[in-house]
Amino acid sequence: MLVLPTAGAQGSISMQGFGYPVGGGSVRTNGTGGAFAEFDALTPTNPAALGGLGRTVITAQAEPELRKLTLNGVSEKSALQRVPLIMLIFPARRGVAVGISATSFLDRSFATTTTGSAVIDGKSVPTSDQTEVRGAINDLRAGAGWQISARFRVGVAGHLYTGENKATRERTFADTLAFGSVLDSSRVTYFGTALSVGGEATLGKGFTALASYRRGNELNARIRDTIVSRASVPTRTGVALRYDGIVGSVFAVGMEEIAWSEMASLGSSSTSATDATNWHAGAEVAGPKVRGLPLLVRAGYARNELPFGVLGQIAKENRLTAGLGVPVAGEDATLDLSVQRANRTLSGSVLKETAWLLGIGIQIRPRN
Amino acid sequence: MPERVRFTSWPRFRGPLLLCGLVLAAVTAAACTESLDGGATCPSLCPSKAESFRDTIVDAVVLDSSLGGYPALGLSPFVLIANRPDTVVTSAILRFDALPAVFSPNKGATVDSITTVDSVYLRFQLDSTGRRGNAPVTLEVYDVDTTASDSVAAVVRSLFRADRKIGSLVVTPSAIGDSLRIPFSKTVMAAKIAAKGRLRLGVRIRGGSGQLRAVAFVSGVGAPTVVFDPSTDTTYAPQQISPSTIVPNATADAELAYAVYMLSDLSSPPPGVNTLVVGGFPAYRSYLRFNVPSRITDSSTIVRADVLLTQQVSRFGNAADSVGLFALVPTTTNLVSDLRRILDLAAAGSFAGVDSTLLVPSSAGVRAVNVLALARTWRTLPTNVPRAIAFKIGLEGAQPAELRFYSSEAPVSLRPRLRITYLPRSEFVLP
Repeated sequence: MLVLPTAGAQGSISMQGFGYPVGGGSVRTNGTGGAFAEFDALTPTNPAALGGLGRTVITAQAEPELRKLTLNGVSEKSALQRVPLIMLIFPARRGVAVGISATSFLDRSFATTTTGSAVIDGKSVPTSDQTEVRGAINDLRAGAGWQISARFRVGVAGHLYTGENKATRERTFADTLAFGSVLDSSRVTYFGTALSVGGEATLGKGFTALASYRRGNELNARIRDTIVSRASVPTRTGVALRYDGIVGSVFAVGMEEIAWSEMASLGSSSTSATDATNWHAGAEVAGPKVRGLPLLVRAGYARNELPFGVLGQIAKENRLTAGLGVPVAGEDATLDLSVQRANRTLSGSVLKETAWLLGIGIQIRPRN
Repeated sequence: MPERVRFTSWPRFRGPLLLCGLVLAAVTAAACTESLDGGATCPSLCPSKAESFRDTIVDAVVLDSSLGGYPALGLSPFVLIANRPDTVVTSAILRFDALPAVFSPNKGATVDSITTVDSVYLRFQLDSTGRRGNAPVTLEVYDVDTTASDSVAAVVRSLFRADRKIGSLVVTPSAIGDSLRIPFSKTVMAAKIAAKGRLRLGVRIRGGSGQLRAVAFVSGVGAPTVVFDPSTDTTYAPQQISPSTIVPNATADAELAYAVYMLSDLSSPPPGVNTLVVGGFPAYRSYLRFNVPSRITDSSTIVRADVLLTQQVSRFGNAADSVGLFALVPTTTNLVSDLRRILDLAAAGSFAGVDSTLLVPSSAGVRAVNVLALARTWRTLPTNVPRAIAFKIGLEGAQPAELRFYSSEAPVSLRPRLRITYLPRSEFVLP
């Protein structure tokens, strides 16, 4: 006699395991396929990107996702709403700037309705199951970057990983006279820490090399204040090469490795977590001027591996991205827009998942 | 160092790009309505272990008992008037202690004294489903007024004698409609009015086997009434008297109870050993108290709960007709130990979502009474409230049928049990 120990009915490729790795990128980074993550100050990936900022920056963004899942001609649409980034950066002295941010690390929000049966008294009784899980693990980062010289920047940041998942499950029987429904709920909270460091070196001729490293400490899951499982915040290593030698343009390529397998022990044995190697390429060029400032046009491509698969199958994602940076108040405020088209597949499966990820963000730079 | 951005003019594309930006912003805003519904690709993308419910049959009854004498005197909505010598013999007692001495002719302004009466009837509203008998029987009306202690059944019963008989009517029960008028002596009625006395009537069936079920609501619709003409002038509207009584040093409830009640001359047999009885005449109720493992009530979700009762064959009353088994939900704490008091304070099962169950008295076997809604409340009850249920029969006190079940003193396989299907609670949120 088994008791269902997990909320396994994720029902989409990207929502397996602990959820979808949102990435925490700014709208600008998302519009460039994630390639700008290592040097975009509004993306809390490489703390060195904070160094040298001379103005306070406040930013927030929303990122809805419109997802379509297809299997054997049957498709299913869903829409998710995310606010994946809120950030505040303020400059200190001597090229040092400090930033605090809250980003979505792993978003786990889904609902499924399925039909099935339960064996009661040796007879199969039709049932309908509804499962809904909401929540996320968030990355709260406090970091500082220092521009050592015109060619070098370094940074360090501490991360708190907190969040929760709330799950509700209702099982109803077709025979409502004889059987009552089951409505159960469960809640888990997460807590973990990590430390990240990063650096940037200008190589000359418009090229800049960037690297960052996140060392994860313990990440635990608690149910009613009892630690039920422990793992580590996955270690991340990222490198990127930027080229801005053409006037008005920035090009970048990047790669990151995330050791998601370090999280495996946080879930049940049915959760498989695989390490991911992600590749990014993107560009930003100055477009037509709006009130004297250029409209920034962005495009990019990303090839990602998703951390959580189904029964050992590995999920992959390709993204084509585009975006705009619209100056709305001179140099004091910018509206960033992005659109990403994601195609997700599962190895050894005919399942296909496509998604439009729309981003809208505002950054305000008050005069100091 | 921060990347260098050098601005160039690109005026030709400004309009289209701005338009794209506006469209994107609008679409993003429109996408703010969240819809997470999914599941079409399950089970391919829904790796979950099979969820299993647990079935258990628990010998959970720690106390059971049958209590007779229901309904309480005068509280039945019906009165059963029956002469079925092989089953049940009952009479109805009706008290009209407030007799009018005057009347207003045709409801005018004048008031006349009642000096003579005519066309005196005892009128009943009948429940046509309670008729039994295809042969003629005689409905007899007796003057059962006495100065003796008329709250003693034996005293009242002794007044059903020939010199007290004041009226009769021959009827065929199966042919009667939904009301009945029995004429009785206008001399007796006139004398009682003249003496400012009281009228107390006993009604029974004799001269054959038959049964009638009359509505007994006092101060409500359908109560038996005495109807008479207060004058020989037939143009005057008849007077109508509803039952009422005065019982010295008694509560209003007791007075209400004695206004219309039943006397039983032949009753159903007692439960006997190893037996719980529900119904009969006067009716029994049965009480069952459970001790359910807390792992089921507190740590699980119950999806099915049945009280399993092993029914015995009953040949009493209308044994072949279906009768309703109705639940009562005791709500008292364990400070109340008197079972009758517990049953008096019990709520109707319908309030707890426990529906009635139709059973045939003459059949036998294991019967399942669905108590799911009740069992689900057990988790929320204070610990000092016993988990219990009681049963009464439909039309209690107005029909003689009874249901017999084996009690907890019977052999193990025949005892009352609880069958529960449940799902233990689990923390399932982790993937």
